[in-house]
Amino acid sequence: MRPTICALAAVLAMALAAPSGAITLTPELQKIVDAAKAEGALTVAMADEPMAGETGVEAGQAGMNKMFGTAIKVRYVPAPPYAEQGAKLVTEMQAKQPASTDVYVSTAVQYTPLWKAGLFMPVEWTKLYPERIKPDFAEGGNGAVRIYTSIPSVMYNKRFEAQVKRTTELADYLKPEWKGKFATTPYLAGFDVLVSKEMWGPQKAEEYVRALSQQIGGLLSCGSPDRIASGEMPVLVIDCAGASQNKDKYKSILGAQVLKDTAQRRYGYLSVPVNAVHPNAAILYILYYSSPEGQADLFRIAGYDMSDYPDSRRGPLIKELVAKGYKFTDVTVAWWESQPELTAEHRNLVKLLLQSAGKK
Amino acid sequence: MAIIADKLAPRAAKIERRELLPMAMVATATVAVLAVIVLILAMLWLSVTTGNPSDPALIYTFHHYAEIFLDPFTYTVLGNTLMFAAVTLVVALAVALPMAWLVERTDFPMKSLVFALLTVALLIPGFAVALGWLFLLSPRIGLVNLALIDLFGLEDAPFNVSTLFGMGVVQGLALAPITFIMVAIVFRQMDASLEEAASLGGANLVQRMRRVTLPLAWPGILATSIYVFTIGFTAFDVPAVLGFNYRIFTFSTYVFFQVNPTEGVADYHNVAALSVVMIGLAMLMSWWYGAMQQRAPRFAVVTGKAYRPSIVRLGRYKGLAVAFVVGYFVVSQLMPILTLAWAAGLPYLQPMSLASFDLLSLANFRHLPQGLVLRGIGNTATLMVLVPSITVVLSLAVSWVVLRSELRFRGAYDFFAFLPHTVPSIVFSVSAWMIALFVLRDWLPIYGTIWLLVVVYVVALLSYGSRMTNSALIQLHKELEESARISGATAGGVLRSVLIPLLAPAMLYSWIWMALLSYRELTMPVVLSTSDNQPLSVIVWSLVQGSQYGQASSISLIMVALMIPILLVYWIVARRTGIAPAA
Repeated sequence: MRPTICALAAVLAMALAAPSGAITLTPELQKIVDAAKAEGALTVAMADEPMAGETGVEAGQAGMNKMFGTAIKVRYVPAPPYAEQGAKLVTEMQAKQPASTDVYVSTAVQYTPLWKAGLFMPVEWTKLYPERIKPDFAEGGNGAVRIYTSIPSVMYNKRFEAQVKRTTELADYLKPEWKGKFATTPYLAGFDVLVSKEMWGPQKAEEYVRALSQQIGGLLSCGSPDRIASGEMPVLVIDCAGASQNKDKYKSILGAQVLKDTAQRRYGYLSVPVNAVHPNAAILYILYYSSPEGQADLFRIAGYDMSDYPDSRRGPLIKELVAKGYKFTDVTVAWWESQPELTAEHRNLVKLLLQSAGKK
Repeated sequence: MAIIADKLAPRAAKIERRELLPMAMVATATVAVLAVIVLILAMLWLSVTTGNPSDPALIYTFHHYAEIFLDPFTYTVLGNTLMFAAVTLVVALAVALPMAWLVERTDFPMKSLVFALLTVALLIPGFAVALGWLFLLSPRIGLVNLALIDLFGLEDAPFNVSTLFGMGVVQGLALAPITFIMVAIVFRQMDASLEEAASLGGANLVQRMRRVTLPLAWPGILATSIYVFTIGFTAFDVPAVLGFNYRIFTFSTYVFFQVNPTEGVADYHNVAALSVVMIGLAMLMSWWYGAMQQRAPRFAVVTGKAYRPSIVRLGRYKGLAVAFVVGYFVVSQLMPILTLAWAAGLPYLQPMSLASFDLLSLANFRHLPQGLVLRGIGNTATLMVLVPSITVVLSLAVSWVVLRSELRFRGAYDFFAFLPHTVPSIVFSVSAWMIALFVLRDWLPIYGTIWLLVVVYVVALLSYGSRMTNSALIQLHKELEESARISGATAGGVLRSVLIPLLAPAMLYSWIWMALLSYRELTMPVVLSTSDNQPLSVIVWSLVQGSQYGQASSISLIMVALMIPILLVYWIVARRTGIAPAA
């Protein structure tokens, strides 16, 4: 009984001593902070969309330096989206060259094969920041930390709100009135879940993509809110993150609609490549974005955060949809890993779409 | 005896020094040509292997060729590329032929201004113009389309620039200036007396054109056509900006897509196999172009000092001619650039209206990632200084070997120096990338540095540089050098005191031109850039990829503005040295 009381007292004392989510500088963490100070710099190369490019890096630099008392200079470099950048990183690793970024952002789809190729550094995330990072949040051999939650949605220009609100599932977009009026992503975001046996399976997914390829007006990458806002492609079925409508710039112009058959909770991860030039600074950067302040920054600039945190502003939307009967699939590294056939099946779908679109 | 030996020693040293220059020239030219050959061989090797290039247990196989030949999409891409290049050529000729004829053979006014504007048009970054066209003729947001829909109550947009035809038109308009310059020279060199004879025989203008002018100009036009077709065949900027999002692939964009797959890891071996096929086609076109150029002199009818071009009086058609030329500039350059300015001023692109005018601001300029843009400007400036400097030296060496040496295989130097024109530069980029990563990494770590870009740019521009130095060197008679040698000048002395001063204007002109080409280059850095060596063009490309059109337009406009002083310097140099096409 006495040890339990002592433990409870210790937890209570810690809780009172530090604000919720505040990080404790353990000796292990202190070592990393010292090493990061020695590194003095950090290169973050990523596409603009996942973490708001230069703006995200500026916020990350200020927050990290404040949180750890460092003066690390963070440099933003634009890079191609997740998979394209991953392909380059793995080539650099195979060639024993330093990585062109110290921090890599990905989802389970891109992370899993790269992790299998040995690209990522395992880090004891839960030990470094036990106040925030629960064991579930560090995935793929501790190489990836959940940073944000994407909810694939139909992203639309509000001029089309009435029509979009009438749709509830993907099949609605095959109706004649939608022909040529919407875009899809060139990599069929979210279709990996549909192709799985839990959902549609390969045959139904292929039939759908075949019909979809004749129905779309064009292809549009995720993270193209300007092009939806301008009306160039007023509806995107489906956008990877479903978050742009939360950004100040687009609040009055864009909307997002979650479809019943694409209800997915897809995590975005941050990782450190094994050949990173500034690995310790990269770890601090990731820890900052896991903190309450970092998550608040992320929601402000990118429109999403990680839904599993109690302070998440994204979490309530999922709860609300679940209450309405939506059944969410959690796309984690473990989920992706458990279905090795998905890669080839999804690739076939992409090829089918690409070849049909290319012939137009 | 010892005294005689002492006297002879300096003479022997002098003779030895004389031999140093040819050796140095051959060595320099060999380095240049070897760089081209190595990049091509690397692709060839990669195409017949499987696995990690640094793995000693590589497997040799031809299955990558089987894979690409059995993939129907390869033929779609090839068909797209041929169609795109064909439309490009037709449009470029449709604009350039009449314009060249107007400028060279008629009393068209302000000819120098036309040349000046065409030079500007040629050097404005292709991706900037393509972006402008996207904003003008995209089916949904294109300002022209929206205006026409509004005006005539149309149901659908009348134009779509994101088609093979649309892309070809944009590329053709962009290549019209280079086509013009090449065709204008052909028209300029034609003998007027043949046309005059036809005129005296009662032939009207159309008959003279059909029966005399065009048949005489035909070999030159055909050579120009092959040249322009190869540029279209290898183009990246326009198909990337206009076709990529619609997955309309031409060869260069397809290679880029294969190197940057949307999922999984890139298969460089398949890319290499595809590239080798394209290199084969490029060599074929190189050979054809060479053959046409050799045939051209048989049609040369310039009659030396008595030569005088006949001038057709346009009379009442002068206004129409001026409208045609002005229309070209307005449509091909001014409208896209103005549209870029419009897009740069808005939070997101929208049609012109009172409401949208209220939204105009400089916010996109203010919120540009300053550190990134400054780094981009620094890298671009470095490339603009290093690339032309090195290329001019290498080109001079190649030209010297080809035109002045007795080397047995000097023709091969010329062939390989020209090859980069026809081989898509994205092929060289992928090849250089693999070599830098897997071969040079331990003893020459240039991956991720500006030097890697410099090397590939130099290889790609060698064809242009060597054409310029070839032309200049051909015009210098060997007697000048022989006289200097008889007067006791060493080979180095001849180079220093005779060749370089005489070639200086051409080299300077070539230098500035290549600096400008380096400034606008996108294809090569888009593959080779990492965190430290991104030039401005890649930053614009990244923003376009991220659909941040406002900021992409802002940087494009900054690039166009930064070009103006360089263009002025270029034009002054060209006029003073007498090398400008107008001269």
